[in-house]
Amino acid sequence: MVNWKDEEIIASILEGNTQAFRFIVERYESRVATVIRNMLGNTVEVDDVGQEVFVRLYKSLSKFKGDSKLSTYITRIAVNLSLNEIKKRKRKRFFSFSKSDGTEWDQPDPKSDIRDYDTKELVNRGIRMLKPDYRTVVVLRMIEGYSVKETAEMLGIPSGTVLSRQARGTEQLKNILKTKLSYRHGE
Amino acid sequence: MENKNLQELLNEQQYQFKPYFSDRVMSRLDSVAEVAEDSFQSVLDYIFPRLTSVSFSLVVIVFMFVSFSEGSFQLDTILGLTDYENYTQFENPIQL
Repeated sequence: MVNWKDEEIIASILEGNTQAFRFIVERYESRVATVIRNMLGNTVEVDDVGQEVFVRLYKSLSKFKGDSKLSTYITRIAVNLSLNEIKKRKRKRFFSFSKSDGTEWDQPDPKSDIRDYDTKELVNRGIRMLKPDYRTVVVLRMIEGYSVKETAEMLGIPSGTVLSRQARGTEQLKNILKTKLSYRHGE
Repeated sequence: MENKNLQELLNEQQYQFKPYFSDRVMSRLDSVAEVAEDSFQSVLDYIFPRLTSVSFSLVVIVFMFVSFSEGSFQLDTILGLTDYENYTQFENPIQL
């Protein structure tokens, strides 16, 4: 079953072989983890949101018509649930009067901590400083490698908007990383 | 910073869930199914006692209405057969 196509596994699941869903999870978990981790950062919610993505997928498998690739379908669920989680954090922040929603530099003096981060974590934190709209496009286009058309379909926005958000997001991210990396290197 | 350098940095942004993620998902799917069954059972548990008491109350109200309107509480009254004899006198051709 490891070599089966997605459609064959889905057909098997719909015939009652629930355990076949494990192959879908194992096939796509790294893609989902990458999307959610880049959208939300290194938080405890990442694993919960990831599980929820696959639970939602399982519940909606009978509705999956195969119009788009399964990977695109799963990524769309992951993006939507990540954006929901970000909104939930904002609401929580509003009611708790906290200034941080976990998407910014959490420490009051980032200069001192930047030296402790490896480059990967530093870039991840930089991505999370972007507005969610820009962040989503940067993750889908530049990390996941989706085309402009696929990204536009996934987010329900025109292709032109994808390109403009990518351009602005990239520019902002470059400026953020330039500053942070130069701090770390003591420049 | 060049676009190429940025893309190289972003290419490294690949992550994995903690180990045994698929096990956690599968056990969660099992619990989702159990919760669905449990919730159906709890709906039945909630509805039946209320349905029974409402039905019993309605029966009592009907009996009381019949009793007050007809002035008696005999079986014929409850079944609506108070004038049965008058009707059978005209409708039964054998008796005619």
